Amino acid sequence: MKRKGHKKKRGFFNVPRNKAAQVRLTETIAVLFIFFILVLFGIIFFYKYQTIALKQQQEELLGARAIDTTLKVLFMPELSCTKGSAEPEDNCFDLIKLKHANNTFKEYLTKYYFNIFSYSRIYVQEVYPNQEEIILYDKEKPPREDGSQGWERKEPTFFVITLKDEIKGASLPHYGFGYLVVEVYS
Amino acid sequence: MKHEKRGQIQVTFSWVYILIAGAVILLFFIGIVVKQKAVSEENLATDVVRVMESIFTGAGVSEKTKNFVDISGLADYTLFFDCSEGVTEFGIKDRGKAIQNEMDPIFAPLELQDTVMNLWSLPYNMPFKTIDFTFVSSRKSKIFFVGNDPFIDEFINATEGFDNVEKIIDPAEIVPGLNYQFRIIDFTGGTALAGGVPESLKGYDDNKITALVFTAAEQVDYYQKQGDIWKKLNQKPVKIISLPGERNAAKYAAIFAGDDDTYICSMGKAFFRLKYVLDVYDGKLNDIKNYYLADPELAVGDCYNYISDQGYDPNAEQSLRTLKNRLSACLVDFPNTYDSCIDLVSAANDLKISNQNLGEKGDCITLY
Repeated sequence: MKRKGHKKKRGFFNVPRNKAAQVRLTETIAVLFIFFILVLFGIIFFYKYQTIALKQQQEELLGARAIDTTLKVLFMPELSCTKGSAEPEDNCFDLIKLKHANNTFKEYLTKYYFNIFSYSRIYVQEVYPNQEEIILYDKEKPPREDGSQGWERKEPTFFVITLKDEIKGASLPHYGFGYLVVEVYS
Repeated sequence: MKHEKRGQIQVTFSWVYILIAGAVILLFFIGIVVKQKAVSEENLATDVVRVMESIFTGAGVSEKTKNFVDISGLADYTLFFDCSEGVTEFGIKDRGKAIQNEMDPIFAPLELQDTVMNLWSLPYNMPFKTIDFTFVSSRKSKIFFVGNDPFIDEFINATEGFDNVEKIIDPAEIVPGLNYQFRIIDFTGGTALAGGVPESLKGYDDNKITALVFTAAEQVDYYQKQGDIWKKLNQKPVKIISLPGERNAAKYAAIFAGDDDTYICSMGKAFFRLKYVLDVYDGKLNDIKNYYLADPELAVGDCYNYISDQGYDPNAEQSLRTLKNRLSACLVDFPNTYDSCIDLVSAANDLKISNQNLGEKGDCITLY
């Protein structure tokens, strides 16, 4: 039989009772530390994922806006070729109207046309018979407070068009061709 | 004994503590799931209306083309359309962010619930193409025509494939079926509505039953069910401002529009656009005039006389100027000045005749 009288009180892992509390405290701190590390990892991962997803979404929206704007420009009554009450000619711009539309777009930019084109640059590059560039609309994002450029990316879209010049052709309209460029700013 | 009791209390306390902590953690996760569900639904609603906006852009420019958009995923939701102060708003009712559109005239019922959405666009000519009107409808939004007018057959033929247009003799014939809403288009001058709301439609919500009465060829009144009777929505008759002829976009628009306010609001968008398109045509007319003036032989010819305000009557220059002046009067306090926009029609008609003369009689450069 062993004597119990001199035996020290022992607790967890056979460690003396006064030390067991210390071990437990250290253990709790370690668990909490690991827990917070994991939470931090989670937050960093989530943040990174969100940033990438947001960028992707912005790119998608920019692409969609470019297509939408091109579509709107191609069918604008201010630009398209018409022949009486017949349907407008597809992918054709009237050169006389084109030159005046530029002034109209500029005059009513803030009042009306910004709602259609937003921040973008739209121009027609004539390829034949001349190589003239006709700017229809140009509204760049204003620079940031630090003076740097206000936009990060611009998405260009190109579309081949015919250019009808009725004055040049006398009795029959004269057709040239070129392409429409729509650049939208992000 | 003392030690044993302390142990018992400690064990019980631990379990209570575990239960509370567990419940808190569980509640936390349930909260996250509920929040995420709400956020996802909001996002879905926002995505859907964004896609709808793109579809409307496409449908708006694809002139005279009918588009049938599958919205079966939204069958449980109600789409709403509104137009006030020149801004069209549409989206999913009570969900997500609505889209606001200041540019495109969209004529649609105030609410819509279906699996397929019918989209159609027609150009609005005044006298040249000014803008495209987009019409929104659905199979469960039934349109019944009463009366005898050549326009009824034209409309039925034009909307072939929509599966929601029918010609009836008496509104009492209407069989509601599983449809969402009903509109009666009365070409009898109001006699079809004299008997009150048809018996078969009395059980429906008031806003689901509407009617339109053509009191003259180019004039309508909007009605809505109020209990068993019809309540007139507009105080003054709503004028249809357009040039006569087939595929009269403004007349079609009146049938698709939710009520008189949304109709006038969307028509306002067309008139504002007309102002800017007129500006471009004004510039073009000057260029054509200068071209004829530059050549002494052409300056005395028919072409110049169809253009210049010193020439024949009607001529393009005078008609365009009148159209511009009348448009200014129409827009001075829109929509209060809507009725004065009717004066645009005669000026637009003169311009149309001048343009026809340029093309047919003189073989000249046409304005449009």
